[in-house]
Amino acid sequence: MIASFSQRLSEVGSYFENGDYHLGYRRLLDAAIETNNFEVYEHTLHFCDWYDTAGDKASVNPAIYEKVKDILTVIQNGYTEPGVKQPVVKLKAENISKKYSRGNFSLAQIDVDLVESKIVGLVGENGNGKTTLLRLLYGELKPDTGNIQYQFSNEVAVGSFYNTKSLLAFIPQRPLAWYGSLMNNLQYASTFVGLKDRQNYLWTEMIVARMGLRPFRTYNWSRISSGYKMRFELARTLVKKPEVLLLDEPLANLDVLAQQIILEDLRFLAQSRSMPLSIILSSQQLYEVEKVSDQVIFLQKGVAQYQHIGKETATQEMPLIIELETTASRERLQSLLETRGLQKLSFNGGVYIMYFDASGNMADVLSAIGEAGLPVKYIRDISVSSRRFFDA
Amino acid sequence: MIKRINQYLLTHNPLLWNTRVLWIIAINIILHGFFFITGLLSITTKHIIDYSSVWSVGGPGLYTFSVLCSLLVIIIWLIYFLRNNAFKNFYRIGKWYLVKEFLIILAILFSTITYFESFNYGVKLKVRSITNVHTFANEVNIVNHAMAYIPTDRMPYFILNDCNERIKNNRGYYDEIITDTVTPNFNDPINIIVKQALRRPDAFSYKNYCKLFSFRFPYPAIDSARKISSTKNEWLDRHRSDSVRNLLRAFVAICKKYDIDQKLDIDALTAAVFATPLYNISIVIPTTEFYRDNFGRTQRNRYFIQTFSITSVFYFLYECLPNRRSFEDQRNAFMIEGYVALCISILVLCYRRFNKKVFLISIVGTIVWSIVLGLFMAVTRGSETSVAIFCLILCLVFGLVAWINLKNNSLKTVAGTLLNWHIYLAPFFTMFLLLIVNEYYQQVMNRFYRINNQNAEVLMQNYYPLLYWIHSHNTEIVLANLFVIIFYVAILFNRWARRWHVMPEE
Repeated sequence: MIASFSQRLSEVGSYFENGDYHLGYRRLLDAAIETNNFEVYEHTLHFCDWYDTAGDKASVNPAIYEKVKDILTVIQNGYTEPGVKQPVVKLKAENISKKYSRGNFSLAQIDVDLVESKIVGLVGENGNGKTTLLRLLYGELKPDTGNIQYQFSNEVAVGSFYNTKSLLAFIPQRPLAWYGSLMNNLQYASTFVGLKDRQNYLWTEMIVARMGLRPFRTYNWSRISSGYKMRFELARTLVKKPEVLLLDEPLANLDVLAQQIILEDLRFLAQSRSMPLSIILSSQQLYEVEKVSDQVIFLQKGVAQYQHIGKETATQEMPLIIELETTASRERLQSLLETRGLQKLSFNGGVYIMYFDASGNMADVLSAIGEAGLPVKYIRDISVSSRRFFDA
Repeated sequence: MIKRINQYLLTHNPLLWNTRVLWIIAINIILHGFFFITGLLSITTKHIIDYSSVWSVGGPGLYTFSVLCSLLVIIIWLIYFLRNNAFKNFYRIGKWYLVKEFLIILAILFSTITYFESFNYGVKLKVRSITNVHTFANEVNIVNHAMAYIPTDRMPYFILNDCNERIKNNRGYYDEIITDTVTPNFNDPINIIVKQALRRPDAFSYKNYCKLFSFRFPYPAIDSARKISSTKNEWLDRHRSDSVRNLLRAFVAICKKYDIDQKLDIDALTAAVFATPLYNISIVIPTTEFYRDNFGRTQRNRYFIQTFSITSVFYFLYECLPNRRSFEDQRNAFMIEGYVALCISILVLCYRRFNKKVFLISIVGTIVWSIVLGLFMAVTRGSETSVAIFCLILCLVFGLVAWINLKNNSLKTVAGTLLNWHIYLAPFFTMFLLLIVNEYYQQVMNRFYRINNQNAEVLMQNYYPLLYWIHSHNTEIVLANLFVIIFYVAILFNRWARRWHVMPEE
């Protein structure tokens, strides 16, 4: 359920009031970008200048509330509600498969439906076909069977596959190096979406600010870390206003905090009303991906298993599967939980995976562990998570 | 200022920003200006005699310097130009973007490899300021008229060489007879005529002189040999020794102007003209200042005129003045530079349009092809024509197979490599054809020579008009081919490259 624009703005206000300045700042920029209004961008960037100049002191500066209030009013006034339209399937792949002539790997027949504003997560262990699937969807590889259809709203896509690819962005795990100033590169990309002069500058600056790259925009590629390289690559893709975004392991080079921020950002970017994005991202960060995805495709040895987030909930018929990290011995765990329906216990050296029958209940397990006083470092119900498909 | 211009271009015309065309224009204006001014300052009236051609004025040093300047500018430009590539990043480029990019690359490269032309133009302009077409024609006339009264050789004054009795292509024959170095063949009718002519008292006379002194420049103001002859005969008949003297003085003045070595006694020369009633040649002026005597010692001639210097000066002047020959020379130079620019542009274009793997394979492959072809030719002792036929077939096959792969959307790397090889050969396609056609022309011509030696060319014109036309328009065809290939690369090759770019990998 996508919140109304006024609701979103009041949420932004409350973030600032509650002291979540960085979250508020990012959401404020999201809202400003939503307006598609260059006057709003101008005001927002003035606010960003002030916020950046104030630095860490911005949070203790009482003027911040007034500033936020003012800018939120500007954003509210500059916003025009877009017409309601039915979300369409942007990318539809049916029965696509691929077998490499060298090596034994093959990707079995897979279906992918990517709806507007939705995120599809692609998870699986290394060498199970995530990148192959993304490259197939991007048209970089030719599928042995099946077909892929793209349906973009922008008329630019018509005419040739080159035009289609201009709205279909693919960011590889290791982006190629940029040359020259980063800001110049971004402005160069903006010019090709028809933005000239001041508009070009404002749009590029907004995306730079949104991706948290303002301090680095005058740098060169060699001066930034691999995490920021990924963010700049993402920024360059976003200034191009794509409709479908394919991301190959975007979290690989990011720290834990940056991973969460990027994923949240992707969620918000996808749900944009003025510039909705459909995203497919591959990652090893299973739980993080599940948090933001509408659907997860788990790939194991080239075979896909599908999980629709939100549609699958633990029911009486489904077995309970729990992931647990503890220093307790296997025997103790076994004896403690056998009475609670434990059917199978596997250990990978770090965590235990406990399989219960359909009558198993998380609350019962928690109370049993609590009563026995087992030292627990980490526990998670993975009954509907793709984690259950991984070997221990 | 530079930053503002760059920013403006970046947000208004990314193609101009990316190609750095504005900065290249600025740099090239400065460098062309530098070479032009150097050309202007490189030559003075007294130095004209030192050069046989405009190309020799700068010498190898300046030519090397201009090449180094070109290389430096191209390398720096490439460093900036290759930074961004909208095409490879799937930016929303317009329909004509790639065509415009190619034409800009070509224009930049052409303007960067032609610095020496500005030097040449500077030289020519300076020469034109020294001697314009009017002065040139006037001076050529003076030299042509004056040389009638400065005999450096007896042959032009021989009676059979006058305007009415000229017998072409027999000069060597006359020489032998006149100098009695061979036993005359009395059965030869020409020999009899020559022998009879030699017996005449006016066999070698100023009256018989009817020629242009080496110059046949196609300016209407330049007098013909017949005109020179009639003026001279009129002066002889009317005994206008003052006119002759004044003419010789004007001639000496020209020699002094261009620093042509000479030492002439004008009065003695004038007197010699009218020395006998039949105006016989009594003196011959040496054409060099020094000579070796019978003992091998170097001796100085009392009087002399360095005729080859006159020829050299006037040919140099003619090369610098506006005329058909200098236009054709300039056109040919630009044509060669155009081909060089086109070849480099194609290389840059292939790097821009294809991935590094394909580009590298195509470059290494081209080198391997060349070596294999060279070895094959060396072993089989093949002719140029067979090389041309082989290259033609390769060019066609590469293009065809690449096109089939593009159509079928298969074998991306192969298709890209073949496309590159095809386009590397394309500029020379017409030249290979011309080589074959010219070889055939020669064969036909040899056949006609055997049938009718005198009218072989007429026969060729009548029986093989197309072949004749092609043979006589080689330069024009090669020039037209340059534009055709530019069009081909700009429109078709770019279109195929675009198609290749979105091809899936195999």
